Amino acid sequence: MTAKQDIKPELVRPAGNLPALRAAVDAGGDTVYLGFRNATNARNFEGLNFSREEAEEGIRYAHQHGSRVFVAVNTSPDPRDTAPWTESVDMAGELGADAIILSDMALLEYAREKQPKLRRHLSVQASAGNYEALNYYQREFGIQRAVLPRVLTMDAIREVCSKSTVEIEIFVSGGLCVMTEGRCWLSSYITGDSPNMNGVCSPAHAVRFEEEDGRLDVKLDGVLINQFDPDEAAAYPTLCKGRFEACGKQGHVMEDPFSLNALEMLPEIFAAGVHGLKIEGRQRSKHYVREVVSTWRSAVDACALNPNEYTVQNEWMDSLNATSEGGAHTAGAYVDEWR
Amino acid sequence: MTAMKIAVGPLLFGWPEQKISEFYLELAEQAEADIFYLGEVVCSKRSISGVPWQVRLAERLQQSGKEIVLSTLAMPTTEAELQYIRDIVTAAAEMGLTVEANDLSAVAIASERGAVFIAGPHLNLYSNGTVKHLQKQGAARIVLPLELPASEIPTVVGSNDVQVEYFAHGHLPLTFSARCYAARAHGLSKQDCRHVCFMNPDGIEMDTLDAHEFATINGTQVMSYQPFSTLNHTADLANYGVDVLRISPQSQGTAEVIRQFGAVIAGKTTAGQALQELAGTRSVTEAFCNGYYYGKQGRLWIQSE
Repeated sequence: MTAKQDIKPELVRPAGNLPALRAAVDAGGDTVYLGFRNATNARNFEGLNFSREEAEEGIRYAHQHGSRVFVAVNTSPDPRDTAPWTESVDMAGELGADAIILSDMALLEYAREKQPKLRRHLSVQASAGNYEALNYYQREFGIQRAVLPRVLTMDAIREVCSKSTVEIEIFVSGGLCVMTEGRCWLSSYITGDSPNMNGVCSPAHAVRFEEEDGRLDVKLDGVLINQFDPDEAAAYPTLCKGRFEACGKQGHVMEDPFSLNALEMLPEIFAAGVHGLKIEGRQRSKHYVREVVSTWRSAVDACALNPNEYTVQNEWMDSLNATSEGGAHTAGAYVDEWR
Repeated sequence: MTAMKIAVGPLLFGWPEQKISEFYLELAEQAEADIFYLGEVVCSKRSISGVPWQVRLAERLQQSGKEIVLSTLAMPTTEAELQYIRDIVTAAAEMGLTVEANDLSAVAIASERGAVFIAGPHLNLYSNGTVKHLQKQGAARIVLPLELPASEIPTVVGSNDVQVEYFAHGHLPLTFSARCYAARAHGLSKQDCRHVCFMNPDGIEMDTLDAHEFATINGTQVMSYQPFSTLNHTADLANYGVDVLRISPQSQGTAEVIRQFGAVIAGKTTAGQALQELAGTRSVTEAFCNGYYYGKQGRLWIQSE
């Protein structure tokens, strides 16, 4: 086995549609991930994702340019009609995807049986955040890689990498889930639709903006989740980043509207032996994808060249902050102070 | 069909150990409750005396003749937390008890040792195939995900030979996080939390900016504001194949909730009356939520037809 420390992690980039896929591929190497246009993946947003034909074209384009393609089928199958999920697994195999990202155990079993040559990756939606769980998925379902929930510290990531032969992929950039993915029901508590069952969080159909006395009220299925002053920038109204009141204080009770940005952790991430650096944002534009991927490409290449002398360039930070929701960033759970 | 059993779920809130012991020992005298889950699920920092303390309490509860289950953490990420789970699995085996697995790590640890376990509500059992897999690994009973509509229970369980438990009453545990929201609300960090969650035995109220009740902060967890209740659906749940109804404890009124569930199951009172008893001076609509039962918004109360 190659020592994990010898590996330069690959950038795993989001593609919500064909233009974004091309932008991601053109902006530099490695891998893109995508989902089909239905409830089988965790970004089941209107106007997003790939038909069979688009996926075929996208995979062809990526492969021609040396990129791999991962396909996410990471929601829970409808108990009464699992066909869209099993068909998606088969479609990924038939179209020559390089890996399939799954969370449901029954689908993992299905994929192993029906598409044995297709690499199986464990989705972040499976909430596997320790080596015992990962080794179990490896033993039982032959997973080759797992995406870790965004709730582990660097110490915990190091431990997982050292005690499991499953390749590890972590989120480094984009939207920050502050709750363990796959174990968060906040969205269905408010709107009836959840990431696990519907592939959505705080879905657009439930969002209403109402102006009152110059102030902008943001409601999710009628529940006030934020208020903005006229001069304040309003990002997409994700429930956990809303403003509420607790202990007599109003504010971001759960999480500030920051994006995840792990640029400063890159040498530590390399040293830990992480295989994949995942950029969130299949719902974002091709311009966003191009900008963010180019920045991360420069950072990863710089770190690979000489991790000891790696320093975060101001222009990288500026570029990520300019494109991030909320205009500010955090390294989230990767640093202790956040917790 | 045998009568549905009543389980007292693991205490999800953070309390001092003395208070937990007294609470469970008192409830154990209540005839209507058949099963007691014991152990920390939400935050490992709350457990001060660790497994030996939990074992002593379990031994005392065993004398009541109830079925005792040792619950385990839902989000272990450190070696110390995994060891905590291993120690509980070991202790359970020595005492002849079952563990509730709330993470795949606990499933892995229990199944490696050939131990029977209960698959908890945080394992994401949304599909028949997943239930089948866990049953083969040793799951004797499964607790379904909270947001799964009750009408899907027969499909998800299918012909698998497992007992079925349903989260039937209590604040819904909606999330797990690395961050402690109780510490944050009190201006503290998780590292230096000083067990601030112990100050609020039923959590901290979180409201919307227009002063509507929204949710409950329970340390690293966010819960529903209202307790969820399916007290008026016990017969439907029995028809869906549910064997055990879980009541999630809180500091006030848990004994009364158990009594009312027992009375409804035994046919001694009507569900409507029992619900109104529990709601007290409030209307049932204000006092409880049940949307998930119908596959709707979890926060809502939906009137049965």
